Amino acid sequence: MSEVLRGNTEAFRLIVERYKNLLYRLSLSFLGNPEDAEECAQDILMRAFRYLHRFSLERRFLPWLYGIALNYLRTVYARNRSREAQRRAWECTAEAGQASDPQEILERVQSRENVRAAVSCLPRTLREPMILHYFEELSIATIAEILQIGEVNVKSRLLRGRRELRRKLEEGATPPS
Amino acid sequence: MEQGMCNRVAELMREWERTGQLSPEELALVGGHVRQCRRCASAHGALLPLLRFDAGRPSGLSAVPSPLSGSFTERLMGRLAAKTPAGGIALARRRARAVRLPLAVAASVALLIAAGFLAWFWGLRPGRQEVLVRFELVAPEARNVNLVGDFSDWDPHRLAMKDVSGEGDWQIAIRLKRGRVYTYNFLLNGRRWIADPSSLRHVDDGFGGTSSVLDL
Repeated sequence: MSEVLRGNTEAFRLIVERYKNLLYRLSLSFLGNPEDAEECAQDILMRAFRYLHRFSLERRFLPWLYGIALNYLRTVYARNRSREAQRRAWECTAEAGQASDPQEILERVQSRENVRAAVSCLPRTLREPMILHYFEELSIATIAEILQIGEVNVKSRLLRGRRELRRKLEEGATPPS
Repeated sequence: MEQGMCNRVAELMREWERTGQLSPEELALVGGHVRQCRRCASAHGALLPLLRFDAGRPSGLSAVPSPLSGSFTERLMGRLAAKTPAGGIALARRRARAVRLPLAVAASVALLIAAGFLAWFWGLRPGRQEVLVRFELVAPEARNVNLVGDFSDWDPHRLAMKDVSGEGDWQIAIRLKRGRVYTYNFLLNGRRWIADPSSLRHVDDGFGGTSSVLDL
């Protein structure tokens, strides 16, 4: 980090190598489309480089990087042309529930993309902690640090996220035959 | 019997929703039931990966379905090289600073007029003993800003301001008692003390600088 701040751009390569997959996965969790996610991961790293001089070495780098990533992904998500695709993916999840065989239903609805589509339909305040917790597998404390809210607030949002998700899924469930 | 299991699974789902926890045995019970019940498979099936995660089992959600392209790093480094002048980020920062210096003068004037630190008061009603006072400072170059004053016993660490926009709009709101006169400063990056440019009154701080005065 110090090397990059001293002007060694090439040293940034180490940061790229270390965090590119993480940022790609995070972007994919938000956007669903691999091509969009890869472009987003590029843009996030470009932003991280641009704002690196604001980073204090006393802070932890990962939450700082996540903060930049989330800020950017919020913007992209808001204007994402694939929002319609998010909705379609959700409908696919609901449609899958129409199958007659429980095993077939499970195979279709348990896929990462279907779960992601369902989570992505939650409001932003619930979507972000849900993705950071269940897809990024981050601790409550780290999520609180990234979102700059208290740990109690994170737990509360996760509870509401689970509740909202369950409600949506049950609404889409087929009646008993 | 079947309805009884559906009810039991629904009960477990409600408990999981509330606590975010599920034992491996409960997970096995839910998993076993939804494999046989069409209604529960469709209602709860998509949640199974989340349940697995909370039961301490691999959820599969953190796996990346398709890998990054092999050229990712080189493409990014190419973009960086195209956008960064020789000398890298340090030079870019010096240039930014060179631009900022004249801007800093203009900004300080503008700050006096526009951005303002001391802002609006909430709940300023007759008879109320305390009011919430919001302090604001626009300082894009600061890494951290603290509000320091006699209300915090001049403790430089107690009242850290927050950059609400990520662009250097530092803010903090604190409760202060009405009918008192307070003296305060902003501390930038733990080193630089400045008075509040939007404050109408200043006093000598006794160290060759000035402090701002807030009369409530």
